[in-house]
Amino acid sequence: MAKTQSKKKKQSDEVPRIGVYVCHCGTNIAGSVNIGEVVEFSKNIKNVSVVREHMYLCSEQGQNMIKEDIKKEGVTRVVAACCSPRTHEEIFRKTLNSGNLNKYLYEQVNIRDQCSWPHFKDKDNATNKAKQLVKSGIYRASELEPLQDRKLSVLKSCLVIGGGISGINAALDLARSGYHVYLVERNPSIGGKMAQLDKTFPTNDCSACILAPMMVEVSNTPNIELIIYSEIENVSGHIGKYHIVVRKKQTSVDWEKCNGCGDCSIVCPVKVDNEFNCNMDKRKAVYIQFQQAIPMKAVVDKKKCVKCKLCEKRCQVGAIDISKNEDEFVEFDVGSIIVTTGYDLFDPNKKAEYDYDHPNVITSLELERMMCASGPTKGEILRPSDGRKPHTISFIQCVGSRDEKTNDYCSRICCTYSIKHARLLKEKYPDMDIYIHYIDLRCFGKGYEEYYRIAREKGVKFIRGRISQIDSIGDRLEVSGDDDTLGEQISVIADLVVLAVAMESSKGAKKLANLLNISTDKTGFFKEIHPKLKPVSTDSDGIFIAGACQGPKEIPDAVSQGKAAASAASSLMSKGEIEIEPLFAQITEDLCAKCRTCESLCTYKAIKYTDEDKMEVDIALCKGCGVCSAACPSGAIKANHFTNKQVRMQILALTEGIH
Amino acid sequence: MKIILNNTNKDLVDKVIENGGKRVTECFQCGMCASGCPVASDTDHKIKRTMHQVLLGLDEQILDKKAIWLCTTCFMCLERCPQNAGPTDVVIALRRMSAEKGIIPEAQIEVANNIYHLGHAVTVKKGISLREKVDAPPLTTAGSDKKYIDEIQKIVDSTHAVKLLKIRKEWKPKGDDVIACD
Amino acid sequence: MPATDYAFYPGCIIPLRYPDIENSIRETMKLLGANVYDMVGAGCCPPGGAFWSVEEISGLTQSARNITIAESMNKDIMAVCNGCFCYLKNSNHILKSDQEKRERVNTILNKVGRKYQGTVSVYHIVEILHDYIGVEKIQNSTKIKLDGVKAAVHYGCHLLRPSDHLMAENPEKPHKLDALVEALGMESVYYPKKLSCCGAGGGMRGNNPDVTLKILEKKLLNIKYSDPDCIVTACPFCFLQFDLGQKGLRDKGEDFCIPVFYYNQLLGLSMGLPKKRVASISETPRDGFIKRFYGVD
Repeated sequence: MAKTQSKKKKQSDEVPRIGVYVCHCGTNIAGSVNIGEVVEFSKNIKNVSVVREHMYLCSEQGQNMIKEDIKKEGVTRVVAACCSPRTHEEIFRKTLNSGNLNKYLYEQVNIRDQCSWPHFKDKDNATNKAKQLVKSGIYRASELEPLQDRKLSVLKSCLVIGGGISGINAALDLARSGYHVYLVERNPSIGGKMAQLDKTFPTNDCSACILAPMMVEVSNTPNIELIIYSEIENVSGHIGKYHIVVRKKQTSVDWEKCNGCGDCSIVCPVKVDNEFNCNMDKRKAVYIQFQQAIPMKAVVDKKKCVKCKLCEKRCQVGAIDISKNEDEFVEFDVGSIIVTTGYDLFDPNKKAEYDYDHPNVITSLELERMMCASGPTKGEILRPSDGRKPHTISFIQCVGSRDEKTNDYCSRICCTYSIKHARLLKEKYPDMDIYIHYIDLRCFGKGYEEYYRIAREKGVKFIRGRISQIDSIGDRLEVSGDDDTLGEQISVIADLVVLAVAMESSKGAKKLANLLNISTDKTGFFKEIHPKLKPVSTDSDGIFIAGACQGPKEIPDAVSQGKAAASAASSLMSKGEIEIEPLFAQITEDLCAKCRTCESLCTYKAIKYTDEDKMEVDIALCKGCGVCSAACPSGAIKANHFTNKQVRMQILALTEGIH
Repeated sequence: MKIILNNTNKDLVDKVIENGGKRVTECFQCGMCASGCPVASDTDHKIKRTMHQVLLGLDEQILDKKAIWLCTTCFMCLERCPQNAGPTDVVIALRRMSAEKGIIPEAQIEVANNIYHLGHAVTVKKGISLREKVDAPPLTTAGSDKKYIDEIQKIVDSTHAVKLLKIRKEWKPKGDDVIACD
Repeated sequence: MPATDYAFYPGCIIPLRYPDIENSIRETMKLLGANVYDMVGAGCCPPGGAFWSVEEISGLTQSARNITIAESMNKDIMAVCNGCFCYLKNSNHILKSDQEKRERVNTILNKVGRKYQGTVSVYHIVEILHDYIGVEKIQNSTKIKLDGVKAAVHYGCHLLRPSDHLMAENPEKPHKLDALVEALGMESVYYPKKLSCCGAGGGMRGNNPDVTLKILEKKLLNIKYSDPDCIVTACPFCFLQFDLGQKGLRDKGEDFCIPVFYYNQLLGLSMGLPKKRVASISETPRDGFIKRFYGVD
């Protein structure tokens, strides 16, 4: 230990010996920047002792080349002129570490994304710019100081927000691995949208049959703490230790006593639109959400309750207390967070041409509820206007999707679920006349093409061509559109029209994003760091996303992502501690006047004036942005790895010789 | 003209299947058939559209029209169809249904009558004189002896084709040049 | 392996419009050691245009009748026309696999004292020449070599498709007729859309003579791309289409005059058989070609 410390002290006192490595990156850099020129130029800069070039610096060969130089040439600072630090900074730092050189004595100069790529056709200027950038990096490197990573302890518990199929899977995987999971759900039961589905493609499994056992397992797993009918009120803290405040909405029912008998519902006089059945029938003001609800407990809808207290009197176990009004708050700490808040559906009223006002124009989810034996029509398909069985049904695809005016993305699941609906209807009512009006049919998944073929064999009619509008004709609907193959306009006189509406980010996603400090993209879905390589990570290290809240997807993918997020959270939490970069602010107490300017400017609330009359930096919250350092009137704050001296050297390199 | 899809022939698909177009429902309108068809750019025979018309039950757009008789039965569509929907079989099925309604092109009737009365699709007399010119051996096919033609007639008489093709006992070939083959 | 002896099914066009082709087939097969025996009483196959397009059983039963003639001879059928090959083989396949249809057909055949039994197979002469007799034997049997002569080979449709029923050739990259043509010393030239239809079949030639010529014209323009000395085919209906069709186009003022041969005609001429017997009937003149490459008037 003592030996390494003194070696490192030497490293910062001695004259630096800078190794400069210029990467071709195949033709990504060499295609525009003249590498030879940059190499020659670098040789003449002060403190540079070694300059080399390589085709692919990130390769094992390239890395070994650097290690050799540290060992044999006594290189004490490394400057790599190559790609973006976002890509390979970690690899290079690890290489320095394994060569026994402090990993923060490394400077990466981006001459690819910021030089070669944008100026690809302007070779002369690209080469000049590259030289200037490398010079700036070299000057900075001579001022770099060794720094030590800090360890942060990580709680072995996780908050999962949203109890749909994705959240359920994440929670189960984490619980089985031994972590404590808080599963927060805003509805009176877990299950999410999947609980509202009848059958699921491509196997036509009954949704409740495959979901319910998982829901039961969740409630039986001791490591999972269900916090139901609740919403996230506040999140503070940092990776490893988030402080969560949850608002538990007042149910007016003591769930310790409630046995889910449902007597309260029977006597309640108030009828309310039943959201679970897409407002197609009524529930009571005191209700249990659905027959397989977990937990199977009653809830009083405080907004609709008229306080007649009939339920309270009826309840045989005395579980109800209508006088209870206030929401409760629960607080706890967790090491990581997984967001699985799911989706909502596009409001078809925004497409007035489809006449959603008409009772016989329904959404796919409404049809799904009708098809469900436990739904508002007990599994019979009936026209909402008069309760008669429809003979002709038109399905309209891409309502609200692939549309610059509403959502420009494809919602991915609608083609297959409309085919599912058509197939199931044809199986139950072979004489039904069913049309699907589409632009493209996207049946990409495993088993989906065969699923589509069977629908054709059953006589479902597929028409490529859009529907322009729906009009009422007597008690039926005229669906007017185009048939691409016939090259003519067509219309279908339908009894029922089903709109395949877009999947959208769920209500409250934006608010939650703000609370958690994660991003949403322009579609409103949560944003992952890298769509291919890091699909469940966000730009907040301890917070993960999974399922439909990340983007439209079907159940198999939602499950996969839930499990992926659990795995990612588990890697984070498994050792009980993580290492963080020491790129935070450091305050020199003797110089600090405690003016608290820094505290007022810090976006991350990382600097606080403490009881001991000191300004303290929470290194876990600090993002090293440097604002405090720049603002401090006494110069008492140093931004690690971005010290004034280091930044001044960079500026000097770029402005030397210019008058 | 706007087509109202409700008022179409819902039995058309079943009838086409009965008449030989067994896999018509496999068609998913990819257009592979139309893209390789030798007659598509010069005639009204658009096979992809025909498949779609069958699936929608639009028989009045197909059956009385000439288009289905312009297929050369080259089987290119059937060979290349990625769903094995058999478009050529569908065309032949539609021809059979058209024939039921009495619509058969003149050339077909001529060839059928030749076969019925002469044993061959083309006239025999001209053939025999050509054979003599090149020293070919005597003809031994059906056209050479009435007894074979009788067999063929008995066979055709036992089928519905005899009525559909308007096979008439007193028919005689118009001349030696057959529309289809000369 | 097909046997050496075949039941020769001539069809309609060859015996009654191009008997010179029939001579070339009989004599070349004999010289190659494959005996062909007449199918006495064989009628029209019948092809897709007349009976099949109207009512299935009428076409199927007539095909079955023809097959029973070969069955009674206990020999496999050698078909020399693409249409005959396709419809006879197809009928054979249906009758072998569909019991209900076979019973219906046999009920009718019973009236003429015949019964379909499913004991023979159907082959196209190209298959027999290439797969059984072989290119080498053919090469060794010719006296006059057509070295450097360019042939545009036309396979036609019903030798290739539907390939899972006919199984005679690779439907997208056929090679047998090219190999046979090369065995005579010729060069089988590339031309675009080699696999496309000549435009005659399915009743087209009768139903719409204008369209049939338009399709033929497209085919001929593609063939002209490689400037061949002749067109070679193994189907008499395609032969007829090229032969009479080019005349039809010439009558309209177009310039198409490429000599057309049925394969065995060239084979016969190369073996030294007399022109009068094997290659004398055509509306599109061939004498120039025959004089130039065979030295025969």
